[in-house]
Amino acid sequence: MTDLSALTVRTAGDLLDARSLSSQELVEATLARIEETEPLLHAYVRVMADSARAAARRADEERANGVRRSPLHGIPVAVKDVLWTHDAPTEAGSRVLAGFLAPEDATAVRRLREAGAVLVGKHVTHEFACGQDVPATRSAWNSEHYPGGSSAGAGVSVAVGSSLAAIGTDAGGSVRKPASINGVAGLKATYGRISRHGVIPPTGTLDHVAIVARTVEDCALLLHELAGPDPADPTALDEPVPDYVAALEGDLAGTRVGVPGYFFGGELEAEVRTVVESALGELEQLGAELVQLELPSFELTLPVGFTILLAEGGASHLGWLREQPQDYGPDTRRLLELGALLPAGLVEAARRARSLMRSEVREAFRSAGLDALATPTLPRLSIPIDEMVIPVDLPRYIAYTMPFNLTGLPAITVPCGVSSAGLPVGLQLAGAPLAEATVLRIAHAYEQATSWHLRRPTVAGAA
Amino acid sequence: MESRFSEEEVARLAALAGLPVPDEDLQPLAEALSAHADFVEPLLRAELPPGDPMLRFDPRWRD
Repeated sequence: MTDLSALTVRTAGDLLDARSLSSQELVEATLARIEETEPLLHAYVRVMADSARAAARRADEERANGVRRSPLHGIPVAVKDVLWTHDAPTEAGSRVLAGFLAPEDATAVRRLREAGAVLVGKHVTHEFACGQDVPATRSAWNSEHYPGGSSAGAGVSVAVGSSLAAIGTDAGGSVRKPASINGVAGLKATYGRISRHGVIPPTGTLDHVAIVARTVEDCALLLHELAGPDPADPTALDEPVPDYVAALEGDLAGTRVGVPGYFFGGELEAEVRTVVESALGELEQLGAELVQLELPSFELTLPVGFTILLAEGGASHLGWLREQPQDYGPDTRRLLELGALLPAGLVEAARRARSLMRSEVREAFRSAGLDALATPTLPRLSIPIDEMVIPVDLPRYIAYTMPFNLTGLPAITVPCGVSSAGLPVGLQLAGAPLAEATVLRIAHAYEQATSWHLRRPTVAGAA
Repeated sequence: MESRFSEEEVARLAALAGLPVPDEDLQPLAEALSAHADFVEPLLRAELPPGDPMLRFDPRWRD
């Protein structure tokens, strides 16, 4: 049986190309891994075994006939259950959408399939990606711990190898948070870089389709297939898609990396600070020049971010809230009702503050000649779910990720160390608009100089 | 802490919004609105420069 624990999209693809492995074998191993790990980790709401096996057969037949669609050809992936799939319900963790079968795939799902990827299932999400519940999913590193969310299933599944890569959504950190907590890479590209057609709920100005994978290179491989304009999504940017994989190579000599004080304030746990500062030292060793700077407007991140998130969420849910309020979880419903009732003047103030944040970070990049910013991904480690006070703890986790949703800048998290208890810590790198290639290059250089991305969790009861 | 909003005010707001808020949500919503008002105090105190709020979101930096 193939050991998935060491495979990445790249290494699996190389084995497939060399015919050392078939897609059918790889998918069977993935399905077996799902069966081993799901009783403890609950990353999936739906496993699509039959269609995955059929897709794997087609992938092998195509390869035998000389057809290789992309580096993702025959690779098992999964998607968060807020992305439409034409052949499996999309329920977004809510009874509101029980049994909903979309008329077509989300554009991101379609592009993965057209690239030859094999969809093995749908991952767990908080209700409508904003629910105040914590689903049954558990951290890959400590099964009593919060796994991060709302793309909880994606982070956990990639960490334990029950998918080789995944796509989720990120409106405030919902991919980067679980990626960081589970010790894998998570990429939120520039707003509009990846089409959001077919993402539930109709999303506003904060949400992004985002990628979870084991390595930066794998993130680049997926981004290359996902990025690009989409007539079905007017917010998808009509910008050329560079070769993100080719752009990975290159050292960091002369690279200027800003380190904003906002991300190293009192909220930052001491252990996380120690690990991330060590990672910054590694960046310097690799040739990067660190530039200390301040972004005062970022102190408004949480009031601005939550006001806009709530207002846009409440507005997009008005129809369902009117028609079937009883089908929401009560806390989720109240959160969305709150959003629908926020005073317009408050939302306007938040939007003006957002403009300020955007212009401030742009000025910082330009005046300091920056290539990227480096920050901790999260201000704290994961904690036991039993100890969480949801309304207090969930917001705390997004203080460092939300700024890059508000500004629309590309941001990636990569593992950069562990706590004394062995819990992963993430380093976040953010860039200028559409500078994914730069962000990926810096992240790749850091990753390849360290070994944190090679750590794999041991799942109790699984091989 | 005393809520800044009463259940009656929330019910009126909800009616204006055309939102059928269940009775059991009125008190929690009143508290949540109050809590959010407290939470966003820094935003309301901030000196924001004059200029348009961001109504369309294009992340690209254009001069």
